[in-house]
Amino acid sequence: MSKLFTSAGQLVTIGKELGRGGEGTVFTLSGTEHLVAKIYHESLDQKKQSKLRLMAGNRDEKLLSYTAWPQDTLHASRGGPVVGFVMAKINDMKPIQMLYSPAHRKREYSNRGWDFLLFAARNAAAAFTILHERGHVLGDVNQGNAYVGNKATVTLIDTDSYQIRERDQLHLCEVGVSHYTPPELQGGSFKAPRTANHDNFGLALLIFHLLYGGRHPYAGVPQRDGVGESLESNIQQLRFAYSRTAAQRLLTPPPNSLPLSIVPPAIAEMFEAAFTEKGRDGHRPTARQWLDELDRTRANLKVCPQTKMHVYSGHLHGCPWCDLETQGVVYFVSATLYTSATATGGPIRIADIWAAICLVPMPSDVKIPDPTKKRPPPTPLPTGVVGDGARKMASLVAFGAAIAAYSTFHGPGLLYTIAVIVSLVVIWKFGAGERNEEARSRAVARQNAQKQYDLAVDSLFRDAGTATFQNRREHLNRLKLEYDDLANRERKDLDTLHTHAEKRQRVRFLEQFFIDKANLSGIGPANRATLASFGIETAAEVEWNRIRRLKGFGDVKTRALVDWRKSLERNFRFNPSLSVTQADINQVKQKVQARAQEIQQEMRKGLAEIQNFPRQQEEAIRRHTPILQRAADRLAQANADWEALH
Amino acid sequence: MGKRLNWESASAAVIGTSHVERGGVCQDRCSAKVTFQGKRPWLAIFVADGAGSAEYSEIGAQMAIDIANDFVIQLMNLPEIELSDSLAVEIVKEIRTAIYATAEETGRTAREYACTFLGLLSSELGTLAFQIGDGGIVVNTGTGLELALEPQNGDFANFTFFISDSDAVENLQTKIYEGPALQAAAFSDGIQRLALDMSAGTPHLPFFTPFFNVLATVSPEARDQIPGALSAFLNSEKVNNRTDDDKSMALAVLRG
Repeated sequence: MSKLFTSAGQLVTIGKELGRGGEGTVFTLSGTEHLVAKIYHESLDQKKQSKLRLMAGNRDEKLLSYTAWPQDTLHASRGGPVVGFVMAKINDMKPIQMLYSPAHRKREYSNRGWDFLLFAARNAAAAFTILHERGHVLGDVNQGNAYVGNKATVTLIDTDSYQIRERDQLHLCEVGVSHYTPPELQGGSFKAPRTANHDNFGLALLIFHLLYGGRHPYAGVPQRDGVGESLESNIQQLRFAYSRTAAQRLLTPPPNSLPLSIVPPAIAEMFEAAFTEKGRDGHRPTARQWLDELDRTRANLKVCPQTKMHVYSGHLHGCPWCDLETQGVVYFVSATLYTSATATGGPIRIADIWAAICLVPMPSDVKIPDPTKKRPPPTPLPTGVVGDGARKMASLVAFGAAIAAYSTFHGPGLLYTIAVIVSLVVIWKFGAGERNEEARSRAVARQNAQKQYDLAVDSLFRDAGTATFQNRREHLNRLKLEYDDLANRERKDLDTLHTHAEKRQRVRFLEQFFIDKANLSGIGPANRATLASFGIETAAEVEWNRIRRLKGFGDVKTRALVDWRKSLERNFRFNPSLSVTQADINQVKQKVQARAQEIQQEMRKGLAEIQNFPRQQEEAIRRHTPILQRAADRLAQANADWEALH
Repeated sequence: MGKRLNWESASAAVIGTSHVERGGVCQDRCSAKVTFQGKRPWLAIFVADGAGSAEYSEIGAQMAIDIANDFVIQLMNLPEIELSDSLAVEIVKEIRTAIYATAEETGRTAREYACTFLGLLSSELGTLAFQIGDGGIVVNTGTGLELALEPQNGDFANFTFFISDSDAVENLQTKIYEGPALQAAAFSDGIQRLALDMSAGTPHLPFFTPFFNVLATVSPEARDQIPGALSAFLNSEKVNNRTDDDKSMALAVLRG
């Protein structure tokens, strides 16, 4: 079948085969590079023929720029039945998962950051907007029918399966992919009419994939037995693992996944709506809402000072990609080496900073008011409480009176002795309860005053003491020594590259084999989406224990994957001559440079702080002195009060 | 090679005395067969020794032998067969798929079907020997009888690798020879100490020579008696004095 006719009866020549699908084969068309022909394997019924005629007739500029829309029907004979159609050739575009899968992205889009993903998400929303505005519904949304260009443009393919509206009649989309099917359609037939709200589930899913490293929103860690047996059941039960209410939904995000909060609250809210009750009940964010909100997000992005590959939403305070890297998860490979000059406007010599730090003189120590210098008069004792002095005096008086009486009147000495003892007991027992009570309360007051005073002294020292200055300087000194040793560290790290070379080379070898492209019998597309959601994308991540604990992966499936990995691994041969690649070296150098940069920044900050210390000290003294003086006075008073009763 | 290869082969598996005492069943299985890829003959020898500690290991061993032989029959339909490491991996994966599927269907674990697995495939294109676990394969492709692969006895007594292990594909050992097997034998752990000089890692020639001589000269009428004689030998006092384990051996000689 090399000669066919267009709807207008024009002769066209079919060229070479480009791809073969379940329904038809795509061929080149001679005389054009931009158009291709899809020819069906079997003859089409009247309905399908009229659907294609309708689609070609209703094409417009916008549809053509976002989809591979039928541009003309093809016929075996002039005016005969439709056997195929003409559509645009998708040049230099790649399936969308080449972009959202971190493992694929490392190879296909190694120099693209999150901003690019965001742009692709925005363009996907734009494509759906165009369709929905015209009353069409994609129906069978899945990762296979969205293609991305190298400028993040998105083209939707497989248009002949879309649900097309013809006045009051619908040409249905009769296919679907289970793990892209919204909860309200799970388990049902694909032959029912679809709505834009159904499409918006698939759209939200594609956007989620793009923004969250290819993870599936319903793949997570079940919090109870019997939960999460499959992606499909999780969708049906609205177990959105990244939701605010994920704990109640009994499914929490997989390890090392991104939190929902990496997108601005408005977008997070849209995901919540798309994947939970609100969406199921007909209120998913529309393609147009996604388009607008994603545009707003794109207008407010930040670039990480560490590497321009780390782009993130402006509502965040720190770089989420750096945080992830500290956990060992690399979403965006920094291809370009960081140089200090780019971020600081010029190289700074750490030795200069250190010299400047050394020039700052040691501040004089602060003066602390001494509470023992003042001796205020003690607070008078309450009435009824007799001080120890008065008692001693009374005892002496009693003793003296007894001696005086004895020398005057004489008589038996024992009698006088008894009289003295009785008076002494009376004197010392008199008011003992009240006295002890007062002594206790003064002791407590003294303790409290001492505590207050100590606290006040501590906080003055903390803010203005020379120890603080010294600590800061010591810390900066340590940083400087670390900086001076960075060259050593780099050399050491480069040496370690050799020791771990085989392991690294093995991982790199296994990373070439993608699960989504592997021929693994028994491992379906939903299984593969689950694996991807747990960061298992290539043979390198396949390990028995890592897979076996995932829901839906029993011994049979786990074995299939592990055997696949192990049989690939048998072909691995360590190549000592390639043991350390330039990329490995760059990675080490970059880490060291990043640390150097951190140290520089910290030391510049430290220099400023140290230079500012005298002023800071002065200010602290001014602030603390009244408080401290009051505490010292109070302590002196409390000491005097205490002494009066002890 | 214009001349058609013609192998004489035999195999037998016999229960060990300790298993008889316990009223058990023989957990060893083996086979030696010649099949044809068009006109080209292929020799296929397989031995599987069911783990004593695994409840259904004789079923596992039988499955391993059956699946391997089925695989060889399928293989014969191919226009070209490459004797390679990946061919051995394919056979092992096929057996593992069956064991794991059976375990799942019956609610058991693959471990309950544990067995070792030894195989040898040979044609005019060459010879492939492969092995998971203990037992041994000896082969002569023109440079004398040698032990093809090191038996995997493991670091501990009574420990070896099984085809049901999660990392079996990693534990699989293979070796490829250029020529066809002139003499070959595979046997289970039960007769390892009789058949091999373990310290030197070489076959014990006086053990094998009588078998190969008999096979090389057997008349078509006497052929049927060979397996019985082999069984009788494996069950003889001379053998049973040295081992109380199950014993199996499959062997072949090229007659021209």
